[in-house]
Amino acid sequence: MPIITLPDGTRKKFDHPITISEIAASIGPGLAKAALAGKVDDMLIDTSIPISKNSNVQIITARDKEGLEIIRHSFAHLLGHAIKQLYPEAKMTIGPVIEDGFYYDISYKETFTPKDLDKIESRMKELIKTNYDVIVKIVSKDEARKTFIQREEPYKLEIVDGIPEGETIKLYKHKEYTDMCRGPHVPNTKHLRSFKLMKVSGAYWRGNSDNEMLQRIYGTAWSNSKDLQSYLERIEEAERRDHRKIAKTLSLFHTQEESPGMVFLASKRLGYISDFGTIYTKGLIQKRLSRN
Amino acid sequence: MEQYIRKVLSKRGYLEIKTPQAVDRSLWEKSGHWEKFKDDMFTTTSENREYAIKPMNCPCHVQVFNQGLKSYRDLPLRLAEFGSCHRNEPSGSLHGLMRVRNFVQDDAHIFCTESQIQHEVANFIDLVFEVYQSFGFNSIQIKLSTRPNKRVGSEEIWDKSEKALEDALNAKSLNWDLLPGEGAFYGPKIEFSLTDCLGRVWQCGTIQVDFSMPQRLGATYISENGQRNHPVMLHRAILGSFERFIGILIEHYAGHFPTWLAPVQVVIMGITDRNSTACKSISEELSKEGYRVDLDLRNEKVGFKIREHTLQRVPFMLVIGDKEEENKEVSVRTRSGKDLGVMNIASFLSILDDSISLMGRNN
Repeated sequence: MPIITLPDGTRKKFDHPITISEIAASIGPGLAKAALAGKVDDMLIDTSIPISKNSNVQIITARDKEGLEIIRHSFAHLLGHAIKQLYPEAKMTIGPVIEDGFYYDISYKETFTPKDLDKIESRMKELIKTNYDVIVKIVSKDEARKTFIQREEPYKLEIVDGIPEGETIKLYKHKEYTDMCRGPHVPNTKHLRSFKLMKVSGAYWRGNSDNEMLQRIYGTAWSNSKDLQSYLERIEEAERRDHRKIAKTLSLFHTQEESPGMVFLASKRLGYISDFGTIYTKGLIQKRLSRN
Repeated sequence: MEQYIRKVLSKRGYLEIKTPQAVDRSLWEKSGHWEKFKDDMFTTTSENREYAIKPMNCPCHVQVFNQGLKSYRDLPLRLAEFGSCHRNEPSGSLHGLMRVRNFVQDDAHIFCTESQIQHEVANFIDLVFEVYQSFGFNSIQIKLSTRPNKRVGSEEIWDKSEKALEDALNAKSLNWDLLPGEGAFYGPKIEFSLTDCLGRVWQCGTIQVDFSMPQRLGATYISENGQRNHPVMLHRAILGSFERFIGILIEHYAGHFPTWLAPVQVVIMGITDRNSTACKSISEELSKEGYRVDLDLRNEKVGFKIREHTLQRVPFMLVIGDKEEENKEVSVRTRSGKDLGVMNIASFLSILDDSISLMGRNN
């Protein structure tokens, strides 16, 4: 029966296979509430997966870097859940975590507008409030195929077909919505609080420009509202500082369609700044002179 | 200005060179770029020959090295070029100055022996810190990437050069992160990133050891005991792409460039038309001294002009009216709204010089 070693060296012996949520509960009710996942011998697992071997276990919460990643990943699923409720014909493709948040690539006949984003965001908030459990199910490739045929998700099916035979697949159930993922995910939507949908852009299926153009919805997600707020402020400040805007005000350079990705340094001011090598080497010399 | 460049480069022992923009396909095949980089190069043909617009300068620098017989006494040989490169980036990824297809690299290649690597790397680290701090970036992150699974060169030379990079960093008691396996197939590298005022991290500088290209392109030198050896080549850049670095600076300073970088450092304006001649003569005097000066002799109210040039983030604004003209003085204002009062030109120049010599500090 498993002996569980915690990061502080404490060893706990259990007489039956034990889950992360049970281990957390055996430590304290606060941790039981906060547990998002577990790190078992350096592998992240869901709180509901039983451990039967002796293992080193760390309980992951929103305070851990991994915890924030899990939150972001679960937000992608939540986005999928909301989208399928609002736009049942939409087809889901992939929804990974990125720096500061997540995105989901979606195939849908109409273009998502900012209004749609507001609608989706509100629906996500409503779903969060119901505090539903996210349920993980380990299935065979065949069962995953059946699930996505029944759900009419051709892209998910294509992904399943690419998975080597014999490998287990995890399905995550968000009420009536099912997604596929390596996981882990948060055990309950109560852990999903601080997020905002940011924008829609285009992306090709599997990143190949010969394939269909999908719509990519970006969101940002954080483990608390303070972090979300400060991120949004940073974004706003970055927009204010966008070099393209400032360059326009100061007439520093311009670009035009005939020469994409190449810069016209044409004005008098630009004459100065384009000679950047000189400016900085000159600066170095001035500094040297002042030092000597 | 070319003098300035030569002066600084020669001080650091660099030779400035200029190499061709378009180079025959055969050289890119020899260097291996054709195979790996073909889709990212712009090509053109002339008289049945195919040329690629250079996406990087390195193969050309080896051609310069290969001119004439080199001996161990010629090493280290440091060749620098403000090289204009073209890369066919996907149109969707282009973004202002941050991601462009044509950019100028502050590129240089150091040809040296294995035992010289550490010394050259150490010197380069000093240069990187000096330059970044001049631009106002004090938080610098360093990453050392070591041998990947697919690589060329003996274990011995990898051991040696990884240690040389590591020792160079440790000798300066710098903090750095190790990225095992992230090096290029041709050698280990150090990357330097800076953090801007919004906490965003930009990787700019790099120094990469290369055991492969000198061999591929037949670069050799005569060693102390008369043997023909291949030199090690160090690729290095401080700012990376000028275009991108200017973009980073614009955002870091929100256009409020410190005086030494400001496109226009001083604008001179008269209160009435009567003062135009005096304005022009001061403008000429400052331009001759090498300052970047604009004249605003429009028939507008001075308050309006000051507002406008403040919005243009010009660090110093000089106003000349009848009284100033008579006393050979100027009234000095800054873009932050400070009135520095009336003074003679010499006093103003000393304020201007102080501001310039601050560079990126306290701005």
